[in-house]
Amino acid sequence: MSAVTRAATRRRILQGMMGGAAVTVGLPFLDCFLNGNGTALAATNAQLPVVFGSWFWGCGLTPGRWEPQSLGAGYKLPVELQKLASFRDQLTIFSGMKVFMDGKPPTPHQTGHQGILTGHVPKPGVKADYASLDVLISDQIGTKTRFRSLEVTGSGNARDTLSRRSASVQNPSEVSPMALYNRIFGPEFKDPNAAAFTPDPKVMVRKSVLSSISEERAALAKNLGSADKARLDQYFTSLRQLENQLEIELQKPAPMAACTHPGKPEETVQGLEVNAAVKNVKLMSDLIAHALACGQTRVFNVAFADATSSVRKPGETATHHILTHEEAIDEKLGYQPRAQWFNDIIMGSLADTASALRNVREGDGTLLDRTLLLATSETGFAKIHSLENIPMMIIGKAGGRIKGGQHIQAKGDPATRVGLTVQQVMGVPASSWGTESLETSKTFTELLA
Amino acid sequence: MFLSRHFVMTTVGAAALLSAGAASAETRGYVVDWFHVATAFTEANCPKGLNPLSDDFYKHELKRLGYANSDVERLMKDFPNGEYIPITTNRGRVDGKPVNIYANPWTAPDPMLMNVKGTAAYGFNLDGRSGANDFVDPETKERGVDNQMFRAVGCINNFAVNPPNQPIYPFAQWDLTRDSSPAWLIQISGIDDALNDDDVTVTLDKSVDVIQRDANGNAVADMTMRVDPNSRSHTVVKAKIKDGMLVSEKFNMQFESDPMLMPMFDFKNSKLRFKLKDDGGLEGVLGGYHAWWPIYWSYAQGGWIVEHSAGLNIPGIYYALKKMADADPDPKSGENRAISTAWRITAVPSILVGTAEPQTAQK
Amino acid sequence: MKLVFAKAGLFVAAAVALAACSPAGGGKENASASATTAMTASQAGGPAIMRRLTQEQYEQIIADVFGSTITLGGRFEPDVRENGLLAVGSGQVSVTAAGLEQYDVMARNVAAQVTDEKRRATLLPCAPKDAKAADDACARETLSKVGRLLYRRPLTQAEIDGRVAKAAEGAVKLKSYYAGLEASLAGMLVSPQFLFREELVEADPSRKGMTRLNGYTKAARLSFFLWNAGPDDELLRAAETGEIHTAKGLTKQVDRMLASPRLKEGTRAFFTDMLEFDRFGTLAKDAAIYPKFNFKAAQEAQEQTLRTIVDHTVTQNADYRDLFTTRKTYLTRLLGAIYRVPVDQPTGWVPYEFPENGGQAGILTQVSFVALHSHPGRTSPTLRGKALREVLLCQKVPDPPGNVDFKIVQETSNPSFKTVRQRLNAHATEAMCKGCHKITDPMGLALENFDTIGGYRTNENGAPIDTSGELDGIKFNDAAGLGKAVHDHPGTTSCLVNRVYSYAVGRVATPSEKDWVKTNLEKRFAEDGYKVPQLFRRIVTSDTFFRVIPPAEKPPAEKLAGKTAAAEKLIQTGELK
Repeated sequence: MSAVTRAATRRRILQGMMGGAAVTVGLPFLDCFLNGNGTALAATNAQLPVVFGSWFWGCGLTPGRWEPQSLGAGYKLPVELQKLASFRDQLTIFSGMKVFMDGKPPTPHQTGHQGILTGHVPKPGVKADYASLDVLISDQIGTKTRFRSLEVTGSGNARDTLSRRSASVQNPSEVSPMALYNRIFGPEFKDPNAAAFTPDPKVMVRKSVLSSISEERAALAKNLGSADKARLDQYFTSLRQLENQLEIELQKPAPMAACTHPGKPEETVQGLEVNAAVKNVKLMSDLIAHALACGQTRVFNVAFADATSSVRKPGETATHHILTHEEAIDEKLGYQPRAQWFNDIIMGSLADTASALRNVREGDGTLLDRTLLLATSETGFAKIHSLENIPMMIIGKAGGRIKGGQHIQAKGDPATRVGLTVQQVMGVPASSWGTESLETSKTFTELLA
Repeated sequence: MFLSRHFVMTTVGAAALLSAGAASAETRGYVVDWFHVATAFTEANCPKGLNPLSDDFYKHELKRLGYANSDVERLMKDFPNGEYIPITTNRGRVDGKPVNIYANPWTAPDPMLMNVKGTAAYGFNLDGRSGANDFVDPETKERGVDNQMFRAVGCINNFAVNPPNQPIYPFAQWDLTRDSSPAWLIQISGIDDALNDDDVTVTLDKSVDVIQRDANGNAVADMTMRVDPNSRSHTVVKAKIKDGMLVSEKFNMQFESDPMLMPMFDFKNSKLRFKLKDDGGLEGVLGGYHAWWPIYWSYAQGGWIVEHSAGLNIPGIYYALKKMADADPDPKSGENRAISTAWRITAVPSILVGTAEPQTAQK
Repeated sequence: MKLVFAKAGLFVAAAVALAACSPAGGGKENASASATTAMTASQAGGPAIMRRLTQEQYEQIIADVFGSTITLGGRFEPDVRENGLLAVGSGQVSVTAAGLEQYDVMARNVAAQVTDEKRRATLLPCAPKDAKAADDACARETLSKVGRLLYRRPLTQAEIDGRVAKAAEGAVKLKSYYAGLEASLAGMLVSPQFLFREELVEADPSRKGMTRLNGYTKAARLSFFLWNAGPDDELLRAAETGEIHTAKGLTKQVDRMLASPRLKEGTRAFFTDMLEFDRFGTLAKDAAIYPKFNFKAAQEAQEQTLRTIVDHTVTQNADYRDLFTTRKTYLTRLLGAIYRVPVDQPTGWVPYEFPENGGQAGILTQVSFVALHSHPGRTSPTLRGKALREVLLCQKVPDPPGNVDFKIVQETSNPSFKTVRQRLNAHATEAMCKGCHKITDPMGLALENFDTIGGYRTNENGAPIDTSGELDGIKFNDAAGLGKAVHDHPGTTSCLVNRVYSYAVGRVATPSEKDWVKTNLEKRFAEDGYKVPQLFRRIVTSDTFFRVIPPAEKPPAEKLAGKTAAAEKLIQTGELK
């Protein structure tokens, strides 16, 4: 892309932001984004920070139809991943990943993602305070942004989230594109590329008020038992994060060349009807991409629907989940055609999220290039709640830190190997991760660039 | 399973239970969900294609009024908005002065809408004759079908659809009125056999209640509707059911409606037919003669908004209806004042209260 | 597998674990139930805890303090259900960063409306001398008055001084008294003192060495339990004067509260929680098959059951058990359409009695139960049976096992299986499946006359429905029989008593409390003719309800095997226990 077209693009974007009014910002403004050679400042992805995203769906894929035949690079894209064809070069597929139970009875559709994302499978009825992968990563890379992370789900239910700091602190998902838009791009959004910046005195006052609440902490904690004290501590952690958000609002943001205002999304219907879920995930993915491009966050989590995948086709009595259990395997086809239909739709939705990131041009690359998008399910064969061979994938290049486009097979290895590798790529100082048989210190070095 | 209603009595039950013959016969209630012009589109019906849409015919009209091509382009450049609106709205001429075309459709020349040339149209053979002007009903295969209203409008884009699709503007009219207008009720009584019964009674009534919408925007089935005891819309007609299809005798019917649609429908020499559907609902056709001017006015009252958005050439419809009218000649001028019509009706089961015949449990 | 539903001491625990899902699985009782109780029932009590306000409580407090026209404009963090109750979950959750962001949005919305020019004259007790400058005296009066209601106690000196100082700081910086007050008030609404109900403890002067809840905490426990609202002025007064600690003073308050129309709100709140009606928020039915079930139907279905319950238990003061057999209820036109019965009143609710032998009997046959525990497009005897056991009998149905061979289930696409019973029978011939389904299906199948939205039907796919079933040895032929069996089941009333107590204290009962509930409360409930308001009275006038016994030292947390550096870091920063 030449500097001229880039400038023209920028001009069009500015025009768009001003509702079609004449461009009132002259070229000197644009100059601040371009260096002497006419290439954009911060044009290479290496200079922009890495982004972590997780993308979860329930009920897995059809065994035998998503694993490539060959190992390493240059694999032929399997039939159930065709929707991801345009990401082939930066799509790494992990097969053979397993979650070990260590004799604990599994909770169907829960155990799998617990093991993969927290490295721990709790005993039934026991609440284990293990943080999820995204939280470990956002502790590392997300503390300086306005939002530590953003969670969304297509299910319409804010409880459908896998992001957790502890058993009692589960980060709720946004379910409505409009609500997500208002949260990110509402009045409190500060355009990082705005020419002028004046700290808002109202924000200063709010921050001061919040600080005074922190000062009352000691008096409050005095009477509490240890469990309640821990909950109060979590409240104050959240309060610090809110103060931090205000602090960021009070500082002139660093310019982000690719930052554009997304415009209000349409009002949508939320729920488990599969088309609604796809649409909401798509709209919210676009908003997340804009938020990332504008430096509002560096971590996001998408849950396509609930862990059981209760999405349904209009007019069908059976949900995706019910079909995985009840539909007979077609003897000719060798799979469950009606359940498989959902697999295609869900992989299409994953492609929507990846596309939203790829659609943001940043210098010579895209936002997806500096992202590590970890896609994972919770079962290897939903029909029997199998915890073997659970589909896991990575899309994106994590700012050049990983080699994309491989098929990595580790038959019977704990799925935590992927999680540990991802943590290390994201800069989390972890040398081992997981508990009991899920504990591992082995990373996938073949992934690292 | 949809039919198994496990309540029996209605508010006027006691008296009716005593009435003779009611013991074994069944009475079913319905509320009308959809009512609009019955349309049937085939290539043969409109061999030269469909009539032009509004931006086309407005340009044509502007040129007719003497505007140069460049002026026409300028006036129309912001279509559907723009400077053309007052000009086309007042494109009628009386003594050379502009007048409102919708109130005075005869003040402009006939734009000569293309009308239906083929043979497919819903309805009934109302006059007992089968002639060159008559249609064949695609559903019942009845010949000699009289439906000149459809002949007049059937090649307008808006009406070029087949069921279950609904002609857009009539659909919109109905859709707008049914949230605020009292619902239309149908009762079929004296049913001994829902598949074949040569003596049942159909009662049409207006309700005092308005329908409520279900999750798909249709009328909620099985809801209680109160019959308006003082309505001018009460009609009773005998009918026969053959192979699950009910066909009525001929009857005259007046029915109060919403002014947005038609203040009062007034059908003469009309017939009804309904399929008793497996889901408990009704689907069918009402055919009959109706004065054509109120039909014209149901479109014309919307003026420019309807004309440009629905692509209905309003004076074109005026001339077409006038030309196609086939009944009730004016004793003085000899011009026909009524036109044969057909309307599609969909109804869902409803619990009617305040009727002469109480609803009974179905078998 | 033999279900251990003998009379012998099975309902000791609030939650009874049913046998595991393996065919060989035996009964397993809740460990805490078998633990010997060191404390005798007469000394029963439990720890004070901290609870997060539920959405309804938050809304109610704002409406009570500032009027019902105040809008919130934010979203609540989802409440969490623990041991069958959101009320118990509220004692275990905290506030996430995203959640606090939303509380902050709401706090600022509320504060802006309260200090808005249109409202300030009616809502605020005083006006500043100069609207453009700070006015500490007026701010102090306002914030202490509002603060007492929001914090459910008078503010401490440090708290009020801090709030007044912030109001002044804001007034100066923003050159407006009201802007400063708004900021300070918003801070109060986002503070933990408001968002959490902290329970404060003091020495019990009447029992040496023992502790009790302080007066304000007692007042809050009473009002949140009985009214689902913060304490009113009169309750706070009784706390202030210490009247609430005397038997006479407490009785006076309890009499007043039980006679108040707000008791209905409290009763509603309890049953909304117990019956899991929060799940209606995300319940969807397939519109193509069941178009009647729109958003309004979901709302009215809950309302129908709550009206039935409140009318029956509070207004009529009738036997709780009869809720499972009564044919009396309230309907709207839309519900009438779902049940296919006439409701000729155009809007609002009408009392209605279903005909005898008409199918419907008791709240289990209402839309709120059969629809809530079904799939979007079809019924589920398994889900219904599970809900009956877990929600109404306080039993725990085990999760289905992993790695089960579902081969037999594949037969379900066989067109010869027309009814759910046929499909489930095919499924349950497999020994692995049989164990689980025996626990839930025999009672769920009795409700098969009700489709997934609660409409009545007698056949499915053209085949007649067989509604015979069984609950713990009692056999019946239809839903009415099931209702009767639930009515007579000892678990029904025992479960209610345990749930109510747990709801009232916001946590699982301690062993000593469980002992007291079983030996005292359950017995009294029976003696009182299973009257719910009387049960409430027994609880709130008992010593147990207010007695604080510090928790035994927590058992060590699950061992962190192979702690990661990240986990270490979290432990150090106190973010992970």
